Amino acid sequence: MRLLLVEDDHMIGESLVKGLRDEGYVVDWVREGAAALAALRDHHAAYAIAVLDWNLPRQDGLSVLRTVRAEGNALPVLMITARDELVDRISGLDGGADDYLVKPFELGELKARLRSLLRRREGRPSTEIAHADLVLDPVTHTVRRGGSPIAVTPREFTLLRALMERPGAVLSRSQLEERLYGWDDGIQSNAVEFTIHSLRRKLGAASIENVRGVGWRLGEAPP
Amino acid sequence: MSSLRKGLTLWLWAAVALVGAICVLIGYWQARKETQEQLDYQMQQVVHILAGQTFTAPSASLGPAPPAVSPMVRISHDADDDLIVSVRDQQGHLLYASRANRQLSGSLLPVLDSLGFQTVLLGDETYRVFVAQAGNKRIEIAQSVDVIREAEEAVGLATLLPILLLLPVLGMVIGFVIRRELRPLNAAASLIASRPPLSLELLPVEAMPREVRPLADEINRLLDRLKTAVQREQRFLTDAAHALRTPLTALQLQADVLGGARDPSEKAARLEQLRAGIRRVRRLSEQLLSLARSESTAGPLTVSTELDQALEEVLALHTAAASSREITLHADTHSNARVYGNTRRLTLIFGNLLDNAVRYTPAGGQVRVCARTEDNCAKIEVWDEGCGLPPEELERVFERFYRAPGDDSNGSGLGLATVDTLVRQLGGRVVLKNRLDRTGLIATVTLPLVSPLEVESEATATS
Repeated sequence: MRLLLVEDDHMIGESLVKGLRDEGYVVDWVREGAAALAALRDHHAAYAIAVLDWNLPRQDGLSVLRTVRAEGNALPVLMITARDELVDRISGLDGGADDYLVKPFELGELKARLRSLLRRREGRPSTEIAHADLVLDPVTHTVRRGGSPIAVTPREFTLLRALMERPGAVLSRSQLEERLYGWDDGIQSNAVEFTIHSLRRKLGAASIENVRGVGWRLGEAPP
Repeated sequence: MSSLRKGLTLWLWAAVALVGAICVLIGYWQARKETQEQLDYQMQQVVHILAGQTFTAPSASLGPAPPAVSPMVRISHDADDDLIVSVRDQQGHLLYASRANRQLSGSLLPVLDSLGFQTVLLGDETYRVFVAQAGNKRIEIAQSVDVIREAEEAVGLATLLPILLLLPVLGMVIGFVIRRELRPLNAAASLIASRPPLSLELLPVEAMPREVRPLADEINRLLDRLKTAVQREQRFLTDAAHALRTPLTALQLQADVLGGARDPSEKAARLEQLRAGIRRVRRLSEQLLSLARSESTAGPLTVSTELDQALEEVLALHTAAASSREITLHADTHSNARVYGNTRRLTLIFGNLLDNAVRYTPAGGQVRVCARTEDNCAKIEVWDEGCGLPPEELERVFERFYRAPGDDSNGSGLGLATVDTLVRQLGGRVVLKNRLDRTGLIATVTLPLVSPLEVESEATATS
């Protein structure tokens, strides 16, 4: 799941990148309003969500948000800021933020709010994603089949999540690669195949289907 | 605590008592004097009457009261204050003696030589005697001084009584009037007392009596100054709390991600970041403290310091930080100047500037400090090789908590504000300008020189 982080403070940004990567997000971190605008306008980036700091050098976060909202961008955006006045919270939310978190905050709350935003966007009542007897829990980072847990690596989890979020849809290799990595990481050419191979081993060969020449999708519910 | 009401009451009472006592004394004395005069006059009257009488039966010895004496002569029927009268002819024969005279210690009033009023001791009693010559008669009239005193005292006391009765009444009236007239003052006091403890609202002076107005105006001026100070404190506190938010957020997140590290080396890296976060908060708190101190220590400048020596000390403190990043520190400190301020203050000023210079200069660069005197001022410049500042930022960076956009240095935004405050207190100023020869900044501090005369007086004062 790809996340855009816009934060100018070096230390906060660094820790957020780590914390969000631990959660399984692929994080792109930019530090200025102009760079944030460019990233949000980049349709190939396919962000699922953005964390946006209000106070940015030169162009502030709110004006960036207003601009992209005016352009029709409906990406879920969580705004983080040191401004805790009521008027600020109101103008932040009215300016297009889907949620608002005041500094200082704990990583756990940020993660929970991100999950809640994603859940709402997908119209799911619960954070857990289920397909047939397969259940994926983004909070605990666990996968269960018929109630018994299956150990998966973060990479396997991210890929499975991408497939489970859109059951039935075929995801191309490049789409899956984007979900797996941020901009900074070099992509190994066979990483997607390798991960799918190990997932099939754990979940059964029929769990992920290969649509030749297009990509992969979740397998039909097992009988 | 001194009470206006108590003081006024006591002093007025004392004044009234004093005046009352004087009145009483004068009145008493006057009354006695008048009584004396009255009694003297009475004796003269009696003499006058006796002078007109004819004493037909001259007698040499004591006898019954002569019938020829008219009733008018019997001045008093009371034996105690009866007048003692004797009338004699030219030969000294007693023509008439009053009953009191006859009873007088069993003897007659002696013959006195001189005329007029006189005091005579007869037996063990003192008498006031009036002797007059009327034709061929010599008349003597005497009255016991005790009797006179009694009469005088009776009259004197009678005049005292009203004053003594009226004094307490006057005292009560004074107490009442003072209480009544001081009521506006009490009202003002209770108005102040009834205000909320931290209220800095001005007092409503219009309602106060004219005499209290200057005091109330002065209190209002004080409140006004206090309000400004409190507002400045509050703003500082708000700014400080706000400035703490970002580093605290970083600290929180750094602690949060520590637990998520998968291998020991990752854990060590995250721990190091947490430490850096703690250092940042610590530095900010130190900066806050020195700014708060610098703002509260404005006062007369009595201390002066050798500038070159202070600069060398500051440079020595920064050598380690500079050499760890392979930055060379160049010093040209031969100003021989003496400037105001103690070493601590000067260290804070130039320490902050040097700190910035070293921080923004890339590794391997040079930082230069030079000091010289110019136009009766000491001029100290700190040159760095950082990336400089856009012209519009050159003044803004002196604002508290302001950080230039794109500044990644984790600075607090307080260093230059502190420098500015301190330099102003020393009567100098500090400006930033971009270097023209290359990128980088020059921070120029101008400080007034201490005149040699003052240096001398200081030396004698300390020796």
